[in-house]
Amino acid sequence: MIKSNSTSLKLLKLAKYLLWIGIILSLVIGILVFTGSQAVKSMLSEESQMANWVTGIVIAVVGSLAAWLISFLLKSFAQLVQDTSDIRNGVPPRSGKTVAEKPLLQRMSKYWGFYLMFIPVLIFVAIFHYAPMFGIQYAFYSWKVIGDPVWVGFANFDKLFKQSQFSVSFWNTIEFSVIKLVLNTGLAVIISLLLNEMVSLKFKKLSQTIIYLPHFMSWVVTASVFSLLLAPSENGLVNQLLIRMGVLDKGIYYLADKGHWRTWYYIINLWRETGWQTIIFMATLTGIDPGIYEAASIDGAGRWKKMFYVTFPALGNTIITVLILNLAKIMNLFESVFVLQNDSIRRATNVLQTYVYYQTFNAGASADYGYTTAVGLFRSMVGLALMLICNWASKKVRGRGIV
Amino acid sequence: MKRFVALMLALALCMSLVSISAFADDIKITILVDGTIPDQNNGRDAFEARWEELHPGYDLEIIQPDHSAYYDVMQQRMASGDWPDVLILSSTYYADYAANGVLWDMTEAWENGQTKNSGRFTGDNVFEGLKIDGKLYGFAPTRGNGCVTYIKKAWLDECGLEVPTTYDQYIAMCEAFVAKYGTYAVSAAGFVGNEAPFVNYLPEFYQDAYPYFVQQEDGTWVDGFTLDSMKAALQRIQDAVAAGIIDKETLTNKTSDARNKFYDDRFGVFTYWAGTWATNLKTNLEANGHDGELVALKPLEGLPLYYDRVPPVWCITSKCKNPQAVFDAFIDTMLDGGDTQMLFTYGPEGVYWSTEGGFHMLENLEKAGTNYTKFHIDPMLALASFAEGYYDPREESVKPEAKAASELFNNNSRLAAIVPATDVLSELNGELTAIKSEIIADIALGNITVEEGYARFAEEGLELSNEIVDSLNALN
Repeated sequence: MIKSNSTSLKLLKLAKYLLWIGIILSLVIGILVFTGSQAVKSMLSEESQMANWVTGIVIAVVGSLAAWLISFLLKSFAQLVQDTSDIRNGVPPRSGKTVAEKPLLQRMSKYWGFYLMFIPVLIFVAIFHYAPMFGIQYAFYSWKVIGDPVWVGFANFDKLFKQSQFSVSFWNTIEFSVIKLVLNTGLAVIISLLLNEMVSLKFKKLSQTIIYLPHFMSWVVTASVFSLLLAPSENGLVNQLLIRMGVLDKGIYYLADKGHWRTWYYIINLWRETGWQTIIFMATLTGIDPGIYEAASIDGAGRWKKMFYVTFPALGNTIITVLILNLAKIMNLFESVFVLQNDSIRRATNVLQTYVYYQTFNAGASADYGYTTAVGLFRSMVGLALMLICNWASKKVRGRGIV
Repeated sequence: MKRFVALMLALALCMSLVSISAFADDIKITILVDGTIPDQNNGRDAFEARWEELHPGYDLEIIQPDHSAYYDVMQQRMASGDWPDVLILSSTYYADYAANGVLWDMTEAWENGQTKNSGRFTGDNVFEGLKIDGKLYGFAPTRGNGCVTYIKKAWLDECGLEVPTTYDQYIAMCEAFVAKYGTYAVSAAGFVGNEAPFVNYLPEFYQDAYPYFVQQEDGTWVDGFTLDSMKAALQRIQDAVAAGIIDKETLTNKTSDARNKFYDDRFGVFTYWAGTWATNLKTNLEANGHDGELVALKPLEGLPLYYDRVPPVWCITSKCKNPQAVFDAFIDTMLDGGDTQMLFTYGPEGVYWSTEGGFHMLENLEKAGTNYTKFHIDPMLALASFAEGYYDPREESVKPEAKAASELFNNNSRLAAIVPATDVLSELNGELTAIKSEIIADIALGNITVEEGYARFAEEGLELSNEIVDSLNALN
């Protein structure tokens, strides 16, 4: 009979007690705060503005989770101590598990070098990606930067759903993003197919370079260039061409007209982004087995048939992947809209991010950051939902998720 | 004996060090500034050293975020509770922060201060405009400056016209320019500005109209956009755009676009900043091969004066431990008529200016080939002259056209009013401003009539406007 390691047993007991003590303590404090016990609340924070019930729930949940985590870590450590002791005693580890089946801490101790290298990244992500998420709480406050935030519960969300500009901005975000996505992906596929059919390598490379270049122009420069091209005066190239061709009698102010603005917004996006999107399709096309083309040729397929029956199907999976990946990002629309806006069409073309911008910076000094945070939180929630849908769709289509 | 002397010397050294450290406990002043104080690449450290030399016993700590991010950084600091002793604020933040108890009330300190009682101070009207509920929370060393209308002299001469003095003459001049040169006469960056005083780029067309909240003589507040004067102004603008007098692209022009068109000789009447910009416009026109002579237009007969922007102000925060000392040392010496005013106006000697071979400004440390023109205080806008007998190098450092434009503006301008902050204003004004700007743009471009514009306003914006007006009147 091999004796159990005493340290391991003590650690297991400690883990058990800590778990229950932690959970009970968290629940008791949480309930006291929930019921409004000022004595407990003042012990926690004298300046806390958070409502009692929220603070109580937060304390109970976070405290219990912390207790569970500490208990889990202790248990894992106890297991590690026990297995190490067993090995030293010349017997198989008591847990009898493979490395992959062993507790997290044991696995971590085996690959500690990798985890050490991971620490800087973890710290970076924690500080710059997760810590700022505490700011989400301001969605439930009215906060004008100076003075203390005032708890308003769901009032900011109530307000945003009543604002006509919010709903216009929300639907614009969806509309612009989806149409842009479909147009850009469609044209990128067509251009990729055409580039793939080019015989002259030099001309192909030149064409690729020319269509990639606009992507590297900043949106501000792009907007300036198109403002000039689309100007209603004699300097506007587009209007001048159309007038000389007899299509128009006088210039149209495209960027000041609600109808024309949308059309040109899509065109400008196509011009700037399509080339860049062809890269991924071109990469897929170069990966197609030449043997398939040869077999198709032997079977008597011409150029068009090879394109339709070999090339295009080979792109199918990539097209769906690109669509899915981009669908998850459709709420992130700001710069391309912002730089092309002007007073005349701003309200009709606002997207959620420009709406937040104007609510913040047009308000004068004391914008309500609570309200704009609520809009941002809503946007993030929609983005999260879209991402989960995309993940599900990706699993269905590709057999694996995107997260 | 040697040991005794050594011991005594060591003891004396220790005592002197202790006494130095005891007296070296300077009063520290933390100031948060934007780019109106030149940065470290442009002699800020030399400025700081010279200021501390002029004010022994004080330690100046300058915090200077990037100019374009100044108000973001400032708000973050205020939100975190890490307030500086002194900070620079624009008019909107000034009114808001004063209303929210962020700023120290300097009324009494100012009334008893040396600048106010020096006999050199000329900015009483500016400081009256800075008062909120009769209290002063900020100090402006200069006027805010504003825009004057410049007309190309060569265009006037070629059309055989005199400088207009009435609105009818002004319109006739614009029509003559349109007819002669086949282009618009006036261009600007936007049909309406996005900050006070909003109408300063098209003053001849807006005249007495103002699209923001204004306080009437009886003290009540009203939305200027709802007044008949605004409707008349929008009709004038629509007519002028339709007649080809105002550039249609004013809607999408940025300030640089408008300037470049002016430099390219594509229009002849440009309302832009007074002072040193008069020189900039002239030199750029000449650089483009055009006649650079400009006439600064006096306000037309019967029309109100140009708007003088509310100047950015230096404020002391309510968390400052010793505000009176900070006021006395930092604020009240900025226009002392002597060395400190010289430092704030022309910068540190040897970096910004030199007297070798007569007073002259030195070459810009970042832009080779150009000279510095000022440090923080624009000499033409300063609210106090130098003390009698103190050498003022203004004559040597300011170009005649800039001086003329500045004097014309100073003699023909009125201060734009500060609108107090209310919660309702901050909650609704973003949306209301967007509605007003859209209506102004649509009327200007002729997409809708003035009546249609105001019908839209009644439907979409009037309720918001009334709520804000009520909140402002509730302050009375």
